[in-house]
Amino acid sequence: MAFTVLVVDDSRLMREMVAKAVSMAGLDITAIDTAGDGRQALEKLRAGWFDLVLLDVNMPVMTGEEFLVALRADVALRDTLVVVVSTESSLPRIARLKALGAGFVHKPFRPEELVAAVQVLLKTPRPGGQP
Amino acid sequence: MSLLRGNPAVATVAENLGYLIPLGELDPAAVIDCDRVVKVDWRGPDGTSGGVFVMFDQGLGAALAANLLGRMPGEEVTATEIDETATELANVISGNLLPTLYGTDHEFHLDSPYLLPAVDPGGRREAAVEFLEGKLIVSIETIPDNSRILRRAVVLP
Repeated sequence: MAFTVLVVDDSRLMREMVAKAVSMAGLDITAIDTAGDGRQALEKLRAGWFDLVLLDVNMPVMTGEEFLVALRADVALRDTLVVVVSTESSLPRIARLKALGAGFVHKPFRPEELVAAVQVLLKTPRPGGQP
Repeated sequence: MSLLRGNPAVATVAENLGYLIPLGELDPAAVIDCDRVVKVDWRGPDGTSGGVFVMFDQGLGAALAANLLGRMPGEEVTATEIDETATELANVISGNLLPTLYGTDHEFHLDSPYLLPAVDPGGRREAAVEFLEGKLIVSIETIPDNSRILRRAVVLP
């Protein structure tokens, strides 16, 4: 499967690093775009197609968790694959993110951890019923 | 007493994120030639809050920026690039440090990291690590009201 990827992080440097890591990870990437917070990410998703979102949690304007809730409530977007890439270590919050159908990779991470998280998501039934 | 004494968390983050080479732990009271100080404010459960200070010397800052930006040996990095990579390292260290100190059952919100004047800001020293490239110290603001969750901190050997 070829992916168009949206990297969402408030740090420009981290957006670049995550984009670089995902392009080195062995996934078939056709395009990578970035957004600085959850609201920008929703706007980009509504304007164009993305197969995979790599999402930070602690962001201004709209956090990663708020973004995920809004995404899953949007019929057109709810099946979008999301992997949270964060320093988050709170087990209750990680459980909530996973309950919203997101994969999770802890920062700092290795590219192969991203691939593994995406592969798990691809095998998991999505809210809209897609495999 | 440092709760992180003997805990490799800070060194591991710096090694994995910034490709720095840890040489070993320093005495938490170590003095360094401070070049960058970054603070990350956090808010936790029950109205708790605080800050994490990450400070390091010039050698470490330059190496961190060069490594993160994929620069070739001898290629210069700008002060702005060092600032940017310093804040990112502080952000990731803080995210990994708080649950180590206070446990993983609490939720913390981290604000965006910001630079402070390059002088030791004080606080309770939690970790001091020497890398091949330089030295790094982490300290935290101690706020008495945080004792409710501080009491749950795991004391590491």
